[in-house]
Amino acid sequence: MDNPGPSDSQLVIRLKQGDEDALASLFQRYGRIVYAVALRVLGESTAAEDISQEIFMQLWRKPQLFDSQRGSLSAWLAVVTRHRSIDQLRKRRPQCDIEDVQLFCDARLDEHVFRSAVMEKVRTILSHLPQEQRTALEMAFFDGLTHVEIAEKTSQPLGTIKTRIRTAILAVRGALSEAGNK
Amino acid sequence: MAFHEQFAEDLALHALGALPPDEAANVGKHLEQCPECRQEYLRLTADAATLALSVEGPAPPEHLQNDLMRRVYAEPRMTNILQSRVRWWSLAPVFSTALLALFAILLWQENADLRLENTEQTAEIAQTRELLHRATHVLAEISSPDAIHATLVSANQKPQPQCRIIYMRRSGTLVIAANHLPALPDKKAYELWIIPGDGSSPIPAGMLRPNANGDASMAIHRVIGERTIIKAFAVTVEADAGSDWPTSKPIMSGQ
Repeated sequence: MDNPGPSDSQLVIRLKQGDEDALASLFQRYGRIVYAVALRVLGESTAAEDISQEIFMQLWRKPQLFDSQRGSLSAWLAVVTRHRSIDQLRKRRPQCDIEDVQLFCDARLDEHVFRSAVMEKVRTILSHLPQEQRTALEMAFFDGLTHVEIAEKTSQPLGTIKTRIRTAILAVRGALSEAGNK
Repeated sequence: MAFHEQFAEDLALHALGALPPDEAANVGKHLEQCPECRQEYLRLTADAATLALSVEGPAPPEHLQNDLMRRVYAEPRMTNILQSRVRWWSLAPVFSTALLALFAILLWQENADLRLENTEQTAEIAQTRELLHRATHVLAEISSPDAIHATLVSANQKPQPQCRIIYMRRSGTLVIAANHLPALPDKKAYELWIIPGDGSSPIPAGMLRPNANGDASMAIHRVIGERTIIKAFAVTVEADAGSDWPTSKPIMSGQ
């Protein structure tokens, strides 16, 4: 059975009422995703723990930041975690406020079975991408490098890097529709 | 209408945060004026979100949730803040006289002390309730019919290290209790592995750090997929931070 118990929207409503148990439930549901993203970007468990705590404390203090009308809480948490982790990685002030993160995702991503299918599809797609496309995409998304920096590091022309990144992210797009058609 | 093709690559880079600030600002200006490109940009941010969601990694350490909840309980509740604001404003006319102001301040101080005490007690009760709930949940799962019970023993003789593992496939919970584990040199720790039945690489399932008596226990959640077939469990000695794959021969294994 998918996500037994209260829905994410119900838990967020309870968060707004100051219910600590709701936060504990959300951590049990999505703590792994948040920690995994932070660890993937930062590569260090202590820093990943700090970011994970910061993300859930933000959710606790300002649950209104997540707009359930816009879709998936899991996707929102993953993206916000990635932003914060990149800021930490590059030792810079936060580049965007969590309040500015706009995300309109398929709400089905909060269903465990659907999300697992999409994740599996994305991983398969990534594993089949040409290595140079995958590397460019990961350097941009998980290392927080600009296309200019990637071009310098890989000694490739800027235009080539741009094309590789766009081709790769469009390939990932197919995962959602393919998983939905299963 | 389709989005502007000349912006196609920049939109993708912008959605991934891979444009330098000046170029990002230019694309941002265009997005303010172009609904078609804005729509494509939002699709790309959703694509990036699925990329973030696809990240695989170990479960967060057990203490992380406890640390988080301790911080949460230590913070004043939002509802309390709201109540205190209302009370302050409602008492404003009272402060018009010096005598009543003094009286109100004394009352406020007493109230604050009581509120602090109440918050601490509430936090304690909630934490205890959470621990009780989890303990009850684990015990119920251990005795459920779908729980897989396994015992791992070492080839070494006395004292005989032993590791008991219970894996609840349905909930994905893995409970491990080990005894008589020999002490390890500094910067070394025991690491538990799940050996999948499909022949793929062992999956790291967590670090066992025994106490002075050689006892160690932990419970982890969703370290593998529900459909993963488990062939065996094994324990190796690894660096203290853990390893992504076994670097030494198992000192214990079993199924």
